[in-house]
Amino acid sequence: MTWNRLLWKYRWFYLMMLPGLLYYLIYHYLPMGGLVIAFKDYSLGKGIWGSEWVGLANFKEVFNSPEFPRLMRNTLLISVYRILFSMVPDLLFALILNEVRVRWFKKIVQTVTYGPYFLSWVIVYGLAFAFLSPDAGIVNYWIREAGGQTVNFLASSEYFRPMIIFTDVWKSTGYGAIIYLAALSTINPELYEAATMDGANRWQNIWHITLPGVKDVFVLLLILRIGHIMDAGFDQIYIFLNSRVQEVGDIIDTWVFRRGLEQLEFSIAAATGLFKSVIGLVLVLGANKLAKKMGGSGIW
Amino acid sequence: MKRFRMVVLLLTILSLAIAGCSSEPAAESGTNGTGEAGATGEATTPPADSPYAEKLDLKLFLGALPGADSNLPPGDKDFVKQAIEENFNVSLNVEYMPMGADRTSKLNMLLASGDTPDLFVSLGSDAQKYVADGIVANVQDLVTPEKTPNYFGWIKEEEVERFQVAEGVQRLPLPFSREIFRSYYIRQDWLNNLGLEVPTTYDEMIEVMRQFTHSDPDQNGRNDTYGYTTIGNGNSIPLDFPAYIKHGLVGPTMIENNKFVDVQSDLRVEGVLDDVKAMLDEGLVDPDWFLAKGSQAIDKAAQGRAGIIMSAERGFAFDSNPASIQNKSKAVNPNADWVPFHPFAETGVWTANLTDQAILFSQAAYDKTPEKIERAAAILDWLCSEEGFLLTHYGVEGRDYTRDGNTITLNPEAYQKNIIEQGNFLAIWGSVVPLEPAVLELEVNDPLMTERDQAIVDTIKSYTILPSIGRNVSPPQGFNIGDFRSKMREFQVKIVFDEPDASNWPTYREELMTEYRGQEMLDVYEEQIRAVGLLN
Repeated sequence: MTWNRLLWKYRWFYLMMLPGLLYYLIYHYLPMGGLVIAFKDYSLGKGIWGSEWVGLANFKEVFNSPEFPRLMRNTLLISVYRILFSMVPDLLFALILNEVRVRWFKKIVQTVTYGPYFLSWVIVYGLAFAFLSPDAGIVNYWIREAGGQTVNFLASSEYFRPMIIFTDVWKSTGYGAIIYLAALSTINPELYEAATMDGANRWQNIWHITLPGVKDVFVLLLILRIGHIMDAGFDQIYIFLNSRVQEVGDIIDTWVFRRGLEQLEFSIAAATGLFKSVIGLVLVLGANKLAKKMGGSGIW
Repeated sequence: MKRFRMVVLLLTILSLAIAGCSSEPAAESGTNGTGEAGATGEATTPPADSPYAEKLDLKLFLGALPGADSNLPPGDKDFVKQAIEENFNVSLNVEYMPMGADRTSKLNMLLASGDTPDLFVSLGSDAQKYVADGIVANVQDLVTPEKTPNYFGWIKEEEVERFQVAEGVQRLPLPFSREIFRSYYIRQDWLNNLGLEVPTTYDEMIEVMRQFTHSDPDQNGRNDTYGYTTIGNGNSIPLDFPAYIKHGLVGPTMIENNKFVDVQSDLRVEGVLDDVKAMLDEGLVDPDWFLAKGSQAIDKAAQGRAGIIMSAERGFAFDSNPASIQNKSKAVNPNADWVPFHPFAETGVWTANLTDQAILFSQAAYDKTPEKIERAAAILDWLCSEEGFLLTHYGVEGRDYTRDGNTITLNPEAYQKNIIEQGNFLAIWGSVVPLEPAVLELEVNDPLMTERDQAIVDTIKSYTILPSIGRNVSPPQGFNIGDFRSKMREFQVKIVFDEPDASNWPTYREELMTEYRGQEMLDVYEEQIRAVGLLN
C-alpha cells in the first residue's frame, strides 16, 4: 500500500494522535526557537529578533567564569550521588514491600511512605531546620544532653551533600518504589511456584526471578536519569543552599537562576541551558546504546 | 461506530480549541499587558472640564513597607485606589511586594514576558539593567518641577540628575526617608537583674553580652540566654555586628581621606571578621543567627533568648506599636523593657541615606499610549502631594484623623478598624512616600505615643550621622555585581566559621579585586563621585 492509502486507512488513529503531536509542536518544539538568544546579546527592549548577534560570546563567558569548574563538579557529584543512593533504596523498598504478605499492613506502609513526596521542598527544609538547627533543633538538643558538641548540620560543607541525598531519599523513596512494584506485579507467579517446587528458597527466588524481572525497568530509569545528570535538583538545592555550603552545593542551575532571573542575563542562562541539554542528549543516546549492547532492550 | 467517530472528532476539535486558546494570551501579552482591570471598572463620565477625558487602564507594581504583612482590600474598602480612580479617570490594576530577591525575580519575570507595568518601583541596581535594556521610558518632559511640583518637594533636582545612568531621565529616585532610626536595643530589666549599666563603649557592650550569656540575666535558673542575635540570611556577616564601626567602617559606603570606601570589601574587614569570630567562639551570639531570616531574630529576642538586637525601624520598641518587640516581649515576661543605646552614638552610627529605589515608567506603554505615562506621572505627583500623603499615611480626614491648621490628630480606633483590619493596606500605598510629615510642615499628634516612646525617638535622634557619599553610584556595564558580592560573602563566611583567624582576608580580597573585577567597580564609583565634585 502506498503511504497515502495507509494514511487514509488509519485516518482516525492519526486524527487521535494529532492533539498529542500538536501539543509537542506548540509547547515543546516552537519555543525552542527562543534558544537563538543563546547566540545573541538579548535585550528586553529589542526583543528576540532585534537583539544583537554575538555568536559564541555567551558560551565563552560561561566557560571562562571563575565559578564554572566548581559548578560542574558539584552538579556532577550531586547527580551521581543521587543516582547511586536513591535508585537502590527505591528498588530495595519495593522488594521488601513485595515480600510482605499481610495486605493491610503493606497498604498502610505504602501510603505512609508515599506521603512525603507531596510535600514541597520548602516544607521539607522547615522540617530539617526544626530538627537540625544548632540552638533550637531537637537533634542538637539530644547531642548536647548526651554531652556532645553542637553540630551545624545545615551550614557545614561536610554534611551538605549527605543531607541533600538523605532528605531526597526520605521524600521520594515511597514514590520511587511504585514503578518497581508495578513491574513486580507483572512477573508470572507460576515462575515462583515452579522454582519453589524445585526447592528454591526465598533468597533464590528473589535472585533468580524477581531481580531479572525488574532489570529492564531499572535500566530504563537509569537511562532517563543519566539524561538529567546536569540537573542536580534545583528546587531542593536552591532552598537548602547558604553561603557556607556554596563551595560544595552551588550547582549550574542555581547559578543560572542567579544570572538569568535575578540579573536578567537571559542569554547567559540560555547558553548554559543549551550546553546542559546537549550533554544530556549525548549521555542518553550513549547510555541507551550501551544498554542495548549489554543485552537489554534500551528505551527505544 | 458512527457515533464513536463523532465523539472522537468532537474531542479532537475540543482539544485543539483548548490548545489554541491557551497559547493566544501568551502571545498577545507581549504587546498588550493590561486587560483584567478594564473589565471591572465602570465607565463613568468625567466632568466636562477634566483634563482626563479618556478613561485609561493603568497597571502599577508597587513595593510595600518591610515587616508589615499587608494586602489590598476589595474595591470599596480601598479608599486610596478609589480616590485615584476618580481623580484621574483611570482603572487601576495594582500589584505589590516588599523589596527583596523574590520581588526582583517576580518583576524580572513580568518584564521578560513583556508584561511591563505602566509604573513600577524597583531597586536602583536592577533599574540600571532595565534602562540599559531600553524598557524604561525617558520622562524628562513629564517629571519636571513645573509639571510635578509635589514630587520635587521630596526629591531635589540634583538628586534626580545624579540618579541617571543614561541620557534623559529614566530612573526617578523614590522619595526616601531622611531620618535614620538605626540603633541597638538592650533589655534594661536584665541589666537591672545583674546590676549593670547600659554600655557606652564597644568593650562594655561585649562585656554585657558576656554577662547576658553566662550569668542567667532572666533568673530562670537555666543557661539559655545569649548576648546578641541577628540574621545572616544564610549568606552574610551582617553590617549590624558592632565590629564594623569599631574598625571605622560606617554605613554601606563612605568617603574617607578623599577616597571612596566600599565597606564590605574593605581591607579593614580583616579586623571585623576577627572580632566577629571572637564573639562567636565565646558563644555570645544566638547560634541560629546564620540561617535566620526575616523576623526570626526579633522573635528569638522577644522570647527572652537574647538581650541585645539591632533595628532601623522607628517604632521597633514603642509601647504604641502593637507589633513592637516591646509588646511581644511583654507577652512573655511582663517586666521586659527594651531601651535604645549605641556604643558609637558620639562618633557616628551610620551614613546619611541615599535612595536605593527607583520609580520607572514603561517604554512600551509610552510608545503606544503616551497619555498613560502622563497620567501615571500625575498620579505619582498626587501621591507626593499633601492630599495624597495624608490619605496614604493617615486615612480619611474626619474619620481616621482630624486636622487643625497643620496639626494632625490621629484616631487610633478608627485607624485600626479601617486600615489595619482591612489588610493594613496603607503599608502598600504608603511605601511610595516616607512617613515624614515634617517635609510637608505637618505636625502629628498620636494619642497612643507614650513618654517612653518619645524618649526612644529623642535618644536615637541624638546619635551622630555621618555624611553620605553624596550620590548614587552604578557599577560599570557588564560588571557582575551579584557574583562579586556572593563570592565576597562566601569568603567572609568561610573565614568566620572555618578558618582559625582572618589573616587570609587580604588574599581573598585580592582575588575579588582582580578575578571578580572589584577594583574596576571601585574605580568607576570613585569616578562617578568625582564627576559631580564630591571628591577632589
